Amino acid sequence: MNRSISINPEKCIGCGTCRAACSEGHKEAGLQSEPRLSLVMTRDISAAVTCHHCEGAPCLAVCPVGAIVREDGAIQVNEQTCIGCKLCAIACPFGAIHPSGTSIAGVAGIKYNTPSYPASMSTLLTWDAGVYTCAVKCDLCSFDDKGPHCVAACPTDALELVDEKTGAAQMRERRERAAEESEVMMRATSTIRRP
Amino acid sequence: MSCSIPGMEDAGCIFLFGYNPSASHPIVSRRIVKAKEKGAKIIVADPRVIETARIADIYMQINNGCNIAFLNAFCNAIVTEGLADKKFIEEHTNGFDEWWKVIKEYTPESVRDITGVDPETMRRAARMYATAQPSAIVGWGMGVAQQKQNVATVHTLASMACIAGQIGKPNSGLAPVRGQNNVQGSCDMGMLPNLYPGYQKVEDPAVREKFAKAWGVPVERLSDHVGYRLTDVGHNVEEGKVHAFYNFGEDPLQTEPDAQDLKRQLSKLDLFICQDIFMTQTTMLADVVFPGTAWGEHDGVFTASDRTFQRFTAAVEPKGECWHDWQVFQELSTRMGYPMHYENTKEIWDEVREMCPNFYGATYEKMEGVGHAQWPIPTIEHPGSPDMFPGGQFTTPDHRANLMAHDWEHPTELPDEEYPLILCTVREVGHYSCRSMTGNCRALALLADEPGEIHMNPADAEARGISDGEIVRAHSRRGEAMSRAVLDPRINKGAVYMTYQWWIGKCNNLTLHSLDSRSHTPEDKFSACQVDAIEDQVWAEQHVQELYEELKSQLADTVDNAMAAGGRRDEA
Repeated sequence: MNRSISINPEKCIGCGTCRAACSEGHKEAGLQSEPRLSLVMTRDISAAVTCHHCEGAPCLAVCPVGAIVREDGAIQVNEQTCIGCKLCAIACPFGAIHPSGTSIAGVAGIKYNTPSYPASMSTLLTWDAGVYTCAVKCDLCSFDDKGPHCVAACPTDALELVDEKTGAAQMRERRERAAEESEVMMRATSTIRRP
Repeated sequence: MSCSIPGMEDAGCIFLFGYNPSASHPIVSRRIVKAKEKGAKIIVADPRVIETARIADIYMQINNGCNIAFLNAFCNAIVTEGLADKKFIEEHTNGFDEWWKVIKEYTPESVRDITGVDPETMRRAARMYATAQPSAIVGWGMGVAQQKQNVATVHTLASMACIAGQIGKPNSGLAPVRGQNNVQGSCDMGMLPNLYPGYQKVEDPAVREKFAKAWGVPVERLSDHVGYRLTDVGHNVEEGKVHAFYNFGEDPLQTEPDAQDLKRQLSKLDLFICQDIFMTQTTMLADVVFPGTAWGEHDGVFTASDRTFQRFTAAVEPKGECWHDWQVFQELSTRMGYPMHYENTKEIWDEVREMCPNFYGATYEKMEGVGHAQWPIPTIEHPGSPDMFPGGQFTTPDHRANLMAHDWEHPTELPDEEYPLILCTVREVGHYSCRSMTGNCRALALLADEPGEIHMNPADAEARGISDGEIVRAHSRRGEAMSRAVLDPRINKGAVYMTYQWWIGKCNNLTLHSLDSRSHTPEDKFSACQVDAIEDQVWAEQHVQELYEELKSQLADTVDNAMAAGGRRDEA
């Protein structure tokens, strides 16, 4: 079973620390600095959304150049061999993968970024002069033995890495709770039936 | 604060009123999440569905500018529901009858149109707050402080805690958080025009005598009257009352209301000194700039909102021409005729301790490493005071709280046909205050950058033909700014929210300069404005970038030009 990051919206305070840590960690590792989690805020929910590392990963299935692979219980993108075709971004049911590149502002006489499209445009369509985009998504910080940076950075422990150890514990806890709840239900039912 | 920030976790109820901790103090927000997990009841009253509102047991979406009307009705509900703590009122307060004369006129039903809150919900919240065990805390932030009648609102909040008996016991009472790091510290150190360090009044002759003696100056040399506040500087310059301004670690042209007018006023100064670590729009106007040191370059003591002193130490030596702030003050004082000499910050701190009885026990030794000391801490042996007013003993002469009530007044500038929206300025979680520091941090700039955001209700946006993510033009009677629209269902209809650190999306071009007569705090939370769509979004995106680059170049050019024109480094 692949590993992934689970999110508890009850604990999320929408502070974005996960995104800052994600960006900084990947930049230091020489990867795209685009954060690999999005922060979704509706009227009633705040939660970081990121890759589920699906068993039947659609992104992996559609990649025409083999730049997306299953490796050590995670779905990984090779930023070097990705051709930026965006098929994976279209196929992903969670919106957890999208194209991104590094702006050339500040080099080669280009002083600052000159946007040629409204910022509200989909990232599947935007284009900046001189910028080569590739697919970016959560890689569980596979470059770092200490594990995902977002999980360590979250001030309320709303993020958790679900792996061999924690996954089993989480499942056991949930089953125990389910058992307790069903017992309560049974008792309630028995009281009704046999007063 | 009458309680401690860690103690919030152990309260039975936390009532947030005009305070969004997840944007302004994520560390406090974390405590509230933990308190909820431990079983605390959470009540939120705010015009926006803030993060904490999602986990609240009761959330009341109040109208902007209704504070005193809401609180009066809340107090009214506590009393009429029979939940007033009669014993506490009898033993520890003065003036209940006078207080009730005002409060009895404000029922939850009678103020419904002002507050926008269903009376039964308000009564339910009042019951939850007043009956909470073992204690309840009311927390507030700039939603109270930066409104008209801000001092009066604080009086009402304090009276509310007293009549409900939710003060004077552990983890209870009042939790006003400060707007920035170490604002509590600057108040503790007397960075107010009416106080010496340790909340000792400048008008008290005995206090002046004490400080004159300690500093070895004749008592006549110490001012005996209250000085000007930062928010008064602009018009005092205009009226010829202020000629020189020494601005230390502030960027008022970014953070103060009606920034364009303030810029005009500050340009009239005879002498303008700025001390900062980066060039800002304010330092651009300065005659002299003293390069200070950043947080990682110096050591000292911070005070948290809950009166906790924490010592911090330098990670690196100051670079180039930079001096520690205290060294700049010391040198300046010496050159102006009062020789001042300290070897290090410990000497300064020990003098503070000697002069301020409530701080005496907070030694450097006690704060070694990650140690801390929470005032009042009057002796070396004292463990510090997480909670104030134990047993309902207040710091008034008769140790009793004076209950105070006020009538509600509407905000200064109400929306009208021309400017139909309410502009409220709020905090951006990823950027600190004026952004002069965090704007230079790559990761934080990546998450939030120019021209900032203007959050508005989707219905208000739709009425103006504005789509999510578009750049818009916001304007008021004072000025205008470009900002990026965020269509946000958490926002109440009729109001828009901007954060105050953007140079291009500068909301303080729009805000009203209207001060409370006592605190002189501006009414940043309420001015009238209008928002217009911009048709050519590509032009708008490019224009924002151009304006931003232009301003950055101007900052750099100011330094280059000053150096070229003979500006010099001073060898001291």
